[in-house]
Amino acid sequence: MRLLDYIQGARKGKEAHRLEKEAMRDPFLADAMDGYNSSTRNQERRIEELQRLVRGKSKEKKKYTTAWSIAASLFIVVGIGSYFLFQKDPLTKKGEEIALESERTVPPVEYKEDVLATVTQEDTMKATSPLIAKNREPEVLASVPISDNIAFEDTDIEESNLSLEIKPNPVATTKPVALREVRGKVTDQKGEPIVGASVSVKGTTNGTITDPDGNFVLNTGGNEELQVGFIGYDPVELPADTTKNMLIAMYEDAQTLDEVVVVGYGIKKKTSTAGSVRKTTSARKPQPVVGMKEFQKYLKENLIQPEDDECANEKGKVILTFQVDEDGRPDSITVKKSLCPSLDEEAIRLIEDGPAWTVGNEAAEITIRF
Amino acid sequence: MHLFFNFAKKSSLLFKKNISKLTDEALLQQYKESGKTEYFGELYNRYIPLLYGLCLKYLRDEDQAQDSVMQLFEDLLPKVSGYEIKTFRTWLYQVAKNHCLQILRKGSKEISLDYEINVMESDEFLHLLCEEESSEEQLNALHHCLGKLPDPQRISVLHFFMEEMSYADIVERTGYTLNNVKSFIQNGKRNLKICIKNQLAS
Repeated sequence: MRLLDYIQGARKGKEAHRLEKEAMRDPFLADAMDGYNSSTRNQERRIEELQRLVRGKSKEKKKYTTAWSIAASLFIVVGIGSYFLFQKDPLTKKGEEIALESERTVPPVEYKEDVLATVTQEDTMKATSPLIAKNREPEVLASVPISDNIAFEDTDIEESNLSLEIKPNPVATTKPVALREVRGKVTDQKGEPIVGASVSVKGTTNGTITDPDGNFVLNTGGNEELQVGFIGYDPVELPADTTKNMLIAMYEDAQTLDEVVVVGYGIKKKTSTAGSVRKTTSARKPQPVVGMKEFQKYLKENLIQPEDDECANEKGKVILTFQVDEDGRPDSITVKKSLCPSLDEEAIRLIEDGPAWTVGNEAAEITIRF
Repeated sequence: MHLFFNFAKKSSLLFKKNISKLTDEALLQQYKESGKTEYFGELYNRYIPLLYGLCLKYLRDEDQAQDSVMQLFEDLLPKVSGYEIKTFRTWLYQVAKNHCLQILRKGSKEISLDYEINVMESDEFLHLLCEEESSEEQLNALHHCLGKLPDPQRISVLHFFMEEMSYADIVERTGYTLNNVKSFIQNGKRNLKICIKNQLAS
């Protein structure tokens, strides 16, 4: 596959150019290429691993069904065999067998109840007189294995019966889905697509957001009310129409625009309208694009404790300050509070290799704990 | 017994050979009819390089991206038969992207979207830039508008569309960063489009 060559680093020449041009028409390819360009590491191994996993999962299911069919055919063979066994000696054996059968099946049920009864009795007696309870114990022990055996045989047969029932129609369980697709496009009053508008079925958590062209696809149960929302625009409610591509226009809401705070190139709704709205243009501190919580998680998971003699057992924190360049990458990292040479280095590595930051006009500061 | 195993081996090889030649939609149809996981597995495997790259872009984390691709496979396996899918590729793109965005939404309230890069061009305009079957009038407008572009945009656009250089080639030639080259081409294209439209209208 040509994309694989590109991933492996063959990014020069006409072939690479052709793929990049193709990506201009194909958002899927464009997104994927952005993904691979965002990482300097070779992702080939991950792809192979994933393909191996998926192949494995596909085969696992097959083995599972063959195992069931073997079990089912064995059951049939045994069934037919025992039928012939009965036929061979109809007079004597059949009678005996029936007698045996009734002996086996009927009494254990009584035992079972017995056990239950004795157990409850025992419980109450234990409280009053431990001696009597002790005397009763052998009786309980004797009856338990028998009822257990019967129970085991029962489930065994039930299981193989089940396998026979399930096998013929494995598709039937997945097929009857009454979902219907609603497709449409969300635009502003000028007809420009709105990216990232939320489209949901009213009163449910079932929803999606629009793609870069303003398009959305949503599965609904039938005639339901759709809710469309985007910050800075009046929310829209309208009935879902599965018969055609819905075109939904939204109108700007002048009032709510004041509440939008732009953080880097993401958009965040300011939740509280009380108090003063802080001007964000004068001083913006860079933030991790993934959010501080996720970034802390990244630090925790990717920290490699240096093992040199000098620093291996050092504990404490390193504070770094840095600028964020226009691509969102940390730049000119300086150590504000040092701990130990190799620990400082590791802290710098984590920030350098880590997730992108929002662009700001102030220096960012981060504390890394060892 | 040996004969039987040989036969089984051969038929499974044959199965593999045939399955890789099927189109996406044919594979999907086979899966819907037979319920055999192999068909969907083969189909999904074709898209793993794209899916993993997509998740990497949005989640910015290798492990999370890998988990998401697997999760999506398990999610779709029982469900995919219930949907009416015309083009599997575009359908999968929407589903996968929503999947990743939903993960982002659960993790933090901020979604970073690079709006610029995702604006797709119509075929018509790309054809014009490649000088395929364009009229004299269109070409004149193109040359006029190219002259009006700022230098970095014009240089990048010319290298990319006329000389068929890749992004990496242009980075090497010009010394711009990769992201700069991409945005120069993106903005250059947009400026050209607007300018050409105005030229042709007047």
